[in-house]
Amino acid sequence: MRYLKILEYALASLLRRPGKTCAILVVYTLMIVVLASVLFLTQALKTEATTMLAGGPQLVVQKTMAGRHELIPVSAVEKLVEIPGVKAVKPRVWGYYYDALTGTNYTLQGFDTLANELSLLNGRLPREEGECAIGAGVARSRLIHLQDELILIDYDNIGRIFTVTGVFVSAADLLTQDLVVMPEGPLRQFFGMPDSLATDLAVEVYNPNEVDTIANKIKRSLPDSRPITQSELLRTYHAVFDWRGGMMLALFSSALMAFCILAWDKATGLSAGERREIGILKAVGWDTGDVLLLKLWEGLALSLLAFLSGCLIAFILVFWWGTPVLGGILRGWSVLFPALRPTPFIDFYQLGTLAFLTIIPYVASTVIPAWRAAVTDPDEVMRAS
Amino acid sequence: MILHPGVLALLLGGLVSLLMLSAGALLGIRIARRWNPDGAEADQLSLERRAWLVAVLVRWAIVFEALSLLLFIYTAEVIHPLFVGAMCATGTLNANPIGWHLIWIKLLLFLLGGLWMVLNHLDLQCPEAPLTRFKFIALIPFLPLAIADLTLMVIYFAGLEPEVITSCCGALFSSGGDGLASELAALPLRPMMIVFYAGLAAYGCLVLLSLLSRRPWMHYLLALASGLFLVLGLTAIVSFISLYIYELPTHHCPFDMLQRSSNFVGYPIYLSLLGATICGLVQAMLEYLCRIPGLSVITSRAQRPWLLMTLFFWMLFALLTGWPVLFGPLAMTAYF
Amino acid sequence: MNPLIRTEEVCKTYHPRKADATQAVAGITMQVASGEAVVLKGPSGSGKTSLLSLVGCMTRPTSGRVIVTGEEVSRLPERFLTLVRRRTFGFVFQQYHLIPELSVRDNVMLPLYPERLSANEMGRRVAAALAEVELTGLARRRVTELSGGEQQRVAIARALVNEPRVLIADEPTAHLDSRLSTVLLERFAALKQAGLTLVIATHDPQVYTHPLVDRIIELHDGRLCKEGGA
Ligand SMILES: Nc1ncnc2c1ncn2[C@@H]1O[C@H](COP(=O)(O)OP(=O)(O)O)[C@@H](O)[C@H]1O
Ligand SMILES: [Mg+2]
Repeated sequence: MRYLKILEYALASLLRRPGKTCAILVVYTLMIVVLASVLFLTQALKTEATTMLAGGPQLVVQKTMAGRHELIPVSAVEKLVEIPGVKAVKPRVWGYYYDALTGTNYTLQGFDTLANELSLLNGRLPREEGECAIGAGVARSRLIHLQDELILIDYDNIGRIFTVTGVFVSAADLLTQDLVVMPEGPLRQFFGMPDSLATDLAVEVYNPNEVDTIANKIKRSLPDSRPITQSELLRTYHAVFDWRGGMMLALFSSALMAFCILAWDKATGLSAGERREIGILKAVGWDTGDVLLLKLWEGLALSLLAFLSGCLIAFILVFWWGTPVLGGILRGWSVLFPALRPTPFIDFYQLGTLAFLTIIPYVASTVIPAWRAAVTDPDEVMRAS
Repeated sequence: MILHPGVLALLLGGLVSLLMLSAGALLGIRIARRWNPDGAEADQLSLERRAWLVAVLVRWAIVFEALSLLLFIYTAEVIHPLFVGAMCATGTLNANPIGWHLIWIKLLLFLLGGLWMVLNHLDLQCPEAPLTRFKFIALIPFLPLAIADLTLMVIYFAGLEPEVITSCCGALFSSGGDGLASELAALPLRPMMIVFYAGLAAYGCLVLLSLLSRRPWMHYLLALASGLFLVLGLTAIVSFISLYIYELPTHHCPFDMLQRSSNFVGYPIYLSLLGATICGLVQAMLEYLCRIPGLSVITSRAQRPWLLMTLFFWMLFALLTGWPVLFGPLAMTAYF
Repeated sequence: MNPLIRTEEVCKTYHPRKADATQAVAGITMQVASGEAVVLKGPSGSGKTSLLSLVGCMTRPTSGRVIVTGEEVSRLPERFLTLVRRRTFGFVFQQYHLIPELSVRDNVMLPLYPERLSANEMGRRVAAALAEVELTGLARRRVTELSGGEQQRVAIARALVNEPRVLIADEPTAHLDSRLSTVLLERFAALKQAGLTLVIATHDPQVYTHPLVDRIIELHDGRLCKEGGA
């Protein structure tokens, strides 16, 4: 009961000093917004990378020459299917296309090698030469829709006209935004790629647990190849995003320091009115412990309010607004993707981490000022004026 | 080095609680040196006021440490995809085995901190404050622990390399491996269950008996039993309770039960085990402090509530560990 | 009869280690019986307020003993001192010391927060204290909207809300005209009638010549120079 009453008094006393409360609350919230945006966005990018890779092949084999990615001969397929544990090998044809008109990069992909979950299509897949399906980002940048025409310049500098038969509406934004899909034959003609070569080979295995072993075997039978497993790719992505997020957090820790100094200052610099008030409380029978409790409640109430509103604002920023700037920094590239709209999620681990990063410095920097206030001499009030 | 947000949060928390604990302990030692109830009034007053600061600093540091233990296990869980072969927190801990030391250090800090807070509370209730000097000197062991905690945390995270191929709970807690963990998992099931439930029953009886009788040795025995109970409980969790919780005959991981997939059942299990241990240890402390003049009334008044709390935690633990074994779908009879 | 409050050779030195050390109270032995009205009289700076602080458990003496209801409080830790003070004494400060942003009711409630009371009991006590000083109608007003005399009544209500045994008042008539002073003294007389012990520090003749006063203790430079009946 005593705890609740003092909580009530603490809340009332915060409300009685709107100026000071707001000042600290705004800075506190701002700090939480920044940190929370970084955390949410990192997590969102990781989730996105996971969904993006989930539909892809378990193992991709590239050819390297002089340490660089090369087209791989289709004949390598025979060698790979002989390796025990390999279920199927498919050559894939895909490549990049720089669109000078909009200044963006498209990914051109052969139809045969499309993963099946790309069926989230408005319209239908292209069936013959002169048809294509495009991603939402391409459609937006070119201002074209279903049944419109897409003109691309091929390897020989000849403009080619494709009819758009479908537009992707996939939930995983990154995956299909910049995609242009057409049957494999026309794509080879477009790129001028001979039939004997492919961009890379997608390998399907029987037992997913053996992917690493099979990758090793492939490396041994095709020494100039580079097998990339899906989990390895995922790990790299996660590590990269975590690293970037961590770097950002480390940078923002200087902001955290500034905040601590401010919190300290606001809490130490008791105004004359507050000093007097605490003196009166002590004189009318509040104990040091009671005043400490009062200060504790004030701090917790401020923290909770700042934390909730900060998370809420960051949530809105990241998941509805798309945080153009932060997203660009964290992703490291900003090509066609107009705005990142990740699927909203709430992760209690992240909220815990965030609370740790923000509330602990606040509490730590207000302990001593709160104690200073709490040990005010009750006798002080007896002296005149 | 892994620059994961959770890692940053842990390091920050460790640093802050180390700073607070060392400030508290140093201040506490100074107070203990100068403490003199018959000394000059003004000096004594300022010492009394500083004692408040120490109490507040230590309390927050302990709270941070307790939360940091949770966050540590969770972070280990969350970053496991970075390590080849890791499937849960165990894998991350194995990636740099120092991690295991961190767990017991944090646990010890939490247990000692809990006891210290009880001690402080008792001292504040007595006008003669007979424990003041003792309680501040008792802060000294916290310092090396907190320093070890932060240093090991830095070493642990600095030594984590994402390429490391680690072994996970499957290997660590498999009956075939060697080392303590494997031995725990390899303990024969039926004798282990008999020992555990016999121990559980004996501990409960001891708590009930202590409630009825007021003999001092009973309470010391209870504290001793609490320590044994903690060890027995942890062993049993790895050995067979985990199997019944996951409903898998070979999954011995002590951390997976903190996850959503097991409905967070690990929290009440560990909480009740630690709660029963702390409350049992407090009994011995109360019994010991009874001899100090001026405190006997307060301690003997406090004994009963603490015993009741021990009983409550014991019942909770018995219920949580008994339920899946008795009524769970997993039938381990083939393994007996 | 056992006295309610007793001091034995009590001394108070401010800043004892520093150059500006001042001995405000220099060895005073006195006592106050239950139900008595005692006035501490003396010129400004003679140590009246300091002695009230000591007697009222606001602070601990530098040396000497203070005994309240048979218990020695001069060596008690601060938190227990606070407890004794809250349970035994009600203070009316010279400057009233109300919190200006709060209403009358909230000001009167302040001493009850640290107690383990139910909300009902708190409300009852506040209402009783306000009724005692006839302020029930103004309970929701802010204290800054009140006149000086009314503010003092709020201060008295706050002193009474803990149902103390002793009321301590420091220069209660300093900010009042003589008519209001008379009203105040009538109120004190009524409280004394109801069984309250009064300890009043003053140098106002209107107070120490009032019939309610049982005993006058005269201070000079922190020393007791005369003690006697009114
Ligand atoms: N906090 C203080 N620090 C230093 N000197 C003080 C303090 N309080 C009171 N004094 C000194 O103690 C003496 C007695 O003061 P006080 O008790 O207020 O007398 P009175 O109430 O009779 O005017 C004065 O000389 C005053 O200056
Ligand atoms: Mg005065």
